[in-house]
Amino acid sequence: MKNPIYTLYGAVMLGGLSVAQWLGIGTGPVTEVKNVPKSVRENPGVYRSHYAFLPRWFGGK
Amino acid sequence: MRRSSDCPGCGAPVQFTWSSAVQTSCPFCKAVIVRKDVDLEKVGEVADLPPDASPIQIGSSGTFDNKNFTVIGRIRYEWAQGAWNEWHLMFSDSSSGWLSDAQAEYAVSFLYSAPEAYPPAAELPRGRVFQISGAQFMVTHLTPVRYVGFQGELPFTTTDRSEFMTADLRTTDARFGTIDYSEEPPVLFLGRFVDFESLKMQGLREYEGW
Amino acid sequence: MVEGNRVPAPAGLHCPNCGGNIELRGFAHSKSAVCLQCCTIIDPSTPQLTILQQFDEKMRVRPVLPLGSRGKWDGTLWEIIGFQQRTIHSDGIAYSWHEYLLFNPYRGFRYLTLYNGHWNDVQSVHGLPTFTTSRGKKAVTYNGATCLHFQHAEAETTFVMGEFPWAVRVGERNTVDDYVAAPLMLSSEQTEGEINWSQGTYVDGKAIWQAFQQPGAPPQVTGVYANQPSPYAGKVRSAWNTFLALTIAWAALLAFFVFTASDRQVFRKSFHYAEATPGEHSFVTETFDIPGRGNVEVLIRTDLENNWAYFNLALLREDGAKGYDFGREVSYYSGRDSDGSWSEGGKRESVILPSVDPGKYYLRIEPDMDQQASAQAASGMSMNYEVEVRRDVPRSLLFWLVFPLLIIPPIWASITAAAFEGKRWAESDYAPTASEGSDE
Repeated sequence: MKNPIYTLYGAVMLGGLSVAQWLGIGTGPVTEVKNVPKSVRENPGVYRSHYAFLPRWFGGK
Repeated sequence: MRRSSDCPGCGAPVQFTWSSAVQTSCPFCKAVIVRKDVDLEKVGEVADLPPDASPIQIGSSGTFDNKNFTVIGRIRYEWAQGAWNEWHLMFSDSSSGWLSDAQAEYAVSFLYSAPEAYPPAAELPRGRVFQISGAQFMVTHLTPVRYVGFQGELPFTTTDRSEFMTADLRTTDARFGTIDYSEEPPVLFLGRFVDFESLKMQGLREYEGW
Repeated sequence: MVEGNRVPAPAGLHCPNCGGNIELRGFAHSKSAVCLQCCTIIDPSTPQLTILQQFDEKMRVRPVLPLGSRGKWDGTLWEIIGFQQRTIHSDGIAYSWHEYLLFNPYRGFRYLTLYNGHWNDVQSVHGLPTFTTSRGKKAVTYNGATCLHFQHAEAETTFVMGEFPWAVRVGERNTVDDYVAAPLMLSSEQTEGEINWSQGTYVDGKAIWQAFQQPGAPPQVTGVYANQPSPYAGKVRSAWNTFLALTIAWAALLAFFVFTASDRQVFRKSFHYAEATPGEHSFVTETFDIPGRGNVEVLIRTDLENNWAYFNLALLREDGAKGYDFGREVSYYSGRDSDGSWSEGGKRESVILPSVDPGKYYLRIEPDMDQQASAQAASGMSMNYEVEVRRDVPRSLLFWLVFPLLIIPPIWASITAAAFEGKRWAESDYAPTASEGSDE
């Protein structure tokens, strides 16, 4: 093996990629929330979405 | 195949190592002895060769192309930029060859017998290419050469030699040729440069401090 | 039969000019010897010690390897018996290098050359190099190696010391042509129409220092020399080979993950929404099971026409411990104008939730439409929509993010290798124009 460092680097990259892909790791416009009260099931209106106050697009050409 | 005769100069026994030798010198009276048929003839006296630095000497032995050789003679030549030796080799199969030593660059060559007419040295341009034994030999140098002297046994007589031309021929590999204009018609020697180690020579001279 | 067995060490001489001592080391080979005291070159092979030349004392140069040093080099013991400095002029600048003449009584002569810390081991060439053309340059081929023409120059001997097997003279000029194929360099020297070839091999100064047992370190290396082997040569090709192997592995992994993604639908339901309906618009779905591992995709399909809707969404675990909160706007507008028909946006949207733990989940959905516009509409605004949840959908995004990282090393290797060759050829007759060269 003529390029041990590059080969190792590539192997680490592909290994990390495989693990990430296996777990479905990625980024997205998603906020993880914790300890959501069970009462949301009975009264969905009490839940406060992180995205409720985003500026809206009023569109059309 | 040793042959022993009496020196025509002093009567001392003269031994020929090589049965085909034509010229040698008497170790006692320094007569130059030329063999004509079975008779020996004194044709002059040898002059001492000037000191030289060659590691080779008469009696040294070695190997070329898996054939053993013994150094039995030597001719010394001079040209504008120095001198060199042509050591006369007797091979184990009784054939004869030459080991040239020019400032410790070595080459082994043999008389190439296929008859071919070579133009006179004066009409031979540098760069001219000869097709010889399947290879292209290019004339690279035309050198005026002076005969200095000889030692030991030779396959021809050098008594008529003084100054003559040689043409050096080279190939793309380390082979070479020499057109020797000391004879009429000129003769061609073909050979190749050799690594000194590869000759596995023994009986060499030693150098003080080395 | 073996006679005159031992050659005595050459006796020193007295300079016929100044009477100073001249040491001799080259036995009967020497055709010139230099008296350092008075800068006189004599011919030691002549009994009267013919003076060949007296040269200017001002240009004394100090050899870095002293005369008389011995070292085992390439399996043979060599002694340094001669030293000369040679100089070429290029664009009015003098470039000088050292030549050390090595001698062994059995093996003859050999040279070490030194320029800017770069050493070459030089031997004469017995065969005849053939002229050819390679990569658009004049070239010579010898022993299977094709060397590209590098430089044509007039070299002048500017200083000599020690002994030489030819009649050396300061001021002597030769036409030199160098051809390179690192680590080899074939050089032709022309004197009076005769061409002599020699072959140099680039060597590390440390190896010479070790062989000749010199104290300290060899002269510092500066720049890139004509036949200096590139530290990147071969690495570029092998880096690209490694890259090819990694790309195959990368593609195999991509195919594996795309084909083995379970891509399973775990929830799907249609809803109707009317903005005018009074009261709370948010609601929750029934719980559904998200098994296994990986991402989760939430798809929203609507029947919106020239309208928009906003969806506040939350995928919440039944036990409340964890959830994913996100929002998506869906808008679709279309029509015709002078340019023809047009459309903007889309009737469907999708959100990928990365790495969702398995478990029981439900969705909280809170659609929203334009309140003001709805108020002006005849019967308020409404839409039909469908929400679908899928587990472990195939995604290649990470693969495309990693791919550029894989290609960086071979690209970097190629760039550095090209930069090295650029530096090499910048010193040649084939350098880019002077203005470009001075940018460096």
